[in-house]
Amino acid sequence: MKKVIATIFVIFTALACGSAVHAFGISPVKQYLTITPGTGQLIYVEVSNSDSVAKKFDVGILGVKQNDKGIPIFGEHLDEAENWVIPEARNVEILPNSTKKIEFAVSVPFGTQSGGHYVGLVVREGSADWSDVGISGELASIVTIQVAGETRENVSVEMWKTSGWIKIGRQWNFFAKLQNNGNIDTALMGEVRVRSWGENIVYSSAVNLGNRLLANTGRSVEIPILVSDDATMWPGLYRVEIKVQYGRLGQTISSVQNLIYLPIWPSLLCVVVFFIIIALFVLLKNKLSGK
Amino acid sequence: MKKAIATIITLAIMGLPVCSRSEMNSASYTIYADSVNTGGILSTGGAFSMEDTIGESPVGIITGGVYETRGGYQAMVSSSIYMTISSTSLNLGELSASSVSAVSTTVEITTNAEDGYVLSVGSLTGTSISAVSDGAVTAGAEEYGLSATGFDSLLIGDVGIANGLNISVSGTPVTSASTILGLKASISPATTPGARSQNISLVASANL
Repeated sequence: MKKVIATIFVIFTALACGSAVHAFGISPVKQYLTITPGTGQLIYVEVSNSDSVAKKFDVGILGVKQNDKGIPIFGEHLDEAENWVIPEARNVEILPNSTKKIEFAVSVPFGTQSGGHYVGLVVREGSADWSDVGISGELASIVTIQVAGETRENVSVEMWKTSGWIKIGRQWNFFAKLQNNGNIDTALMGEVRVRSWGENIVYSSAVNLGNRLLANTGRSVEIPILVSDDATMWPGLYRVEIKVQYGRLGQTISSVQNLIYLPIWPSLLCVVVFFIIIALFVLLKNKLSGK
Repeated sequence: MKKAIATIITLAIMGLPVCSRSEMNSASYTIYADSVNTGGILSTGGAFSMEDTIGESPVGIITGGVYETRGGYQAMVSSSIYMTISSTSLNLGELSASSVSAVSTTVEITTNAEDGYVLSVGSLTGTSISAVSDGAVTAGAEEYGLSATGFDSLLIGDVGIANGLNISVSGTPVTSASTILGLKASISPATTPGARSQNISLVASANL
């Protein structure tokens, strides 16, 4: 057998005294600023070293965006605001069981358009002069920088649908896709209602649309609907509406999906009755033509 | 008479508006910077409260979803997040086509942030063998992947390691929430011999 030597080393940053446990912390976890273009502000984080030896930390800035489930994603070149934030030092050493405050200068260039920007103040365990490859632990404090000026709140419902427009049971799965077209992050509150063709509400419930939706970000949500057996539902057309309330100004937007509810037993009964009628019709016709 | 004058002066000083930068605390947030004034109202709603200051209302002209935001406001969620990694040196050793090599380490997160935390792959550099794509690293195939087990884990089976890969998440504060990360690798007889190395950065933060 061909001897293949392929070794993958995954090396974590080694502690000075050989201890395998790395423990450090950061605070605050989130910060919010409103800054006028052409001006700046100072912010800070506190980094704690819970180990029994002094440790070096790298300090950096990463951009933050949000995936369609609302989870933050960190990386470089995700937000122009990464260039606005300068740490007081790129490397710090923290004594054992100690905390250190690290300041960051936030300067928004003159002429920057108003809106929300999101960065992470990142503290990375280890030395900037790594000679080994490895895995490092990083902690991030998320900063929302709101550039002063006109703030637009605008959320749209890009999709509101279910698989198949004929429903046999009372349990339906709907899928919603929302998009924040504004320039600021916004909280979301949702409500779903099911109305019959006679505008009777057979189902109404608040729904969880997830956490705050960042500017220029989409959100996908699966919403299960279970209409209670206590609700009277005749076979026929139903309208399922989602209403989304968002933003500081409480604006609402809604979308409707129509479907046909055909429960099994009434449907079978209708089919049987239909065939009985056809059979009777054929018998009657034969009888009349036989005369 | 002197006592009376001293008392009056003291009362006058106490009554003067004070321009200051001070820290105000509440159960869920801290405003650690304030503009120069003496008044303001507290508006609440959502996950944090907004402190308006006289002459600096964040809501000025309101027109169909548009309003004016003015600069000078700061606030923070004064919670903390801690990370502990149990083992910082993992060695998959010499790989073979007849078995899967595996190593693991445990990441512990503690946070009192009310929205919980997220643990993700922050950045990835270096070289490795082919990433797993079928959910399981199997012997005889060139595959390399990451698994995660724990109450907050998001991963199902073995997945390829990529920038931005979300590993675990919680929507509530946690204490020593553990995620066991397993690294697995296997090669095929056709795998090019040689050493591989990789640099993986794990980033933890509060949830948005």
